[in-house]
Amino acid sequence: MNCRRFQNRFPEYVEGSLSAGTQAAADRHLARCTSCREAVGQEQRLTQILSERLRQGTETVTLHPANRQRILTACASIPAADVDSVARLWNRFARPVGIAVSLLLIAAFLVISFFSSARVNETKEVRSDRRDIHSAASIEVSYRVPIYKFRKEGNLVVDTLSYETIVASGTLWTGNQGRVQEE
Amino acid sequence: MQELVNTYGDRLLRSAFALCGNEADAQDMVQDTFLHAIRSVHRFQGRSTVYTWLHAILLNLIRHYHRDRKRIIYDEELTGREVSHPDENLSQLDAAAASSALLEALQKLSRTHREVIVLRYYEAMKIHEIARHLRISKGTVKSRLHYAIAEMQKLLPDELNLFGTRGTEEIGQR
Repeated sequence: MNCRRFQNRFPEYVEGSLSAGTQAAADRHLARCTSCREAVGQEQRLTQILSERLRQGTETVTLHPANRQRILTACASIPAADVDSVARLWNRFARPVGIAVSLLLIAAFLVISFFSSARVNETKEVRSDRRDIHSAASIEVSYRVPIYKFRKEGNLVVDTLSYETIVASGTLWTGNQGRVQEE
Repeated sequence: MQELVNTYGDRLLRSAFALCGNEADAQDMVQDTFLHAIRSVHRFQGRSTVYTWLHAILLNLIRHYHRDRKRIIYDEELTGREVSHPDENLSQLDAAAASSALLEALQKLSRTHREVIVLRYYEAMKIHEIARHLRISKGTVKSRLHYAIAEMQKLLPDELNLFGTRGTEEIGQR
């Protein structure tokens, strides 16, 4: 540590609040630097003199008994319910209640956003022209179609009837007038 | 509350007196400090000592006081002390008079310089504690202390010899 670095840490050295490593480095510097050693001595004397004289200058000042009584009277006039009990209740319950309310709000928000987004995906869609927003509903229809097949067996014509189930799915769009359209 | 007033009342008052230089006003400000404290007791979270919390309230009140008055008048009658002026009988100054002269010089400093001097040398706070108390950086605290001491040295007569053998020039070089 050189003089410049020591001077940057000078007040902390005098008050003894340096870290152990920095303190050791400062001590090593002081052991070989006379001017910094003298500066430390002067600072310690200054601290002692200023502290003593400030105390001497103020030690005769005391809180007047009348003023002391005024403080106590004024403090007593503040309703206890407004101060102590409210403060105590606040200190005791504010944090847990705050955390619980926050968690509930977050949970409610997540649930609402989940369901509302699902509904939007189901029923709302913006058309490509972006002018109209239509309600939509997915629909799936299945119906049976009779199939007649004819074949010849010798002189006879035999027909067979079978059914085929056809499944159709699509989206029904509701127009501005509430009409149902199929796409 | 009675316990708080008994424990910290005088200490706060002396600090207030050092900061504002007027005993009557200091008495009022300590009273206001306790009233503010009891009204805002729910804000005290135990992160500092009770005294530090009370002192922060006091400091805030004193800042308003200085803002309102702009200029502090050192009232000799209220303090009940005789203040020696630098140009009269300096050689006969005793410790009490030197203390009075120091307090008088303190009131001539700017508010920011006076605060760091009182916190450092009267309240015996460390640099990081002052920084937290005033909500400024440690570098700013050190800088203010440096200039405050240099300014006080100029305001005090040489005969008081507050700063030992060190002169203003040496302080300025630190």
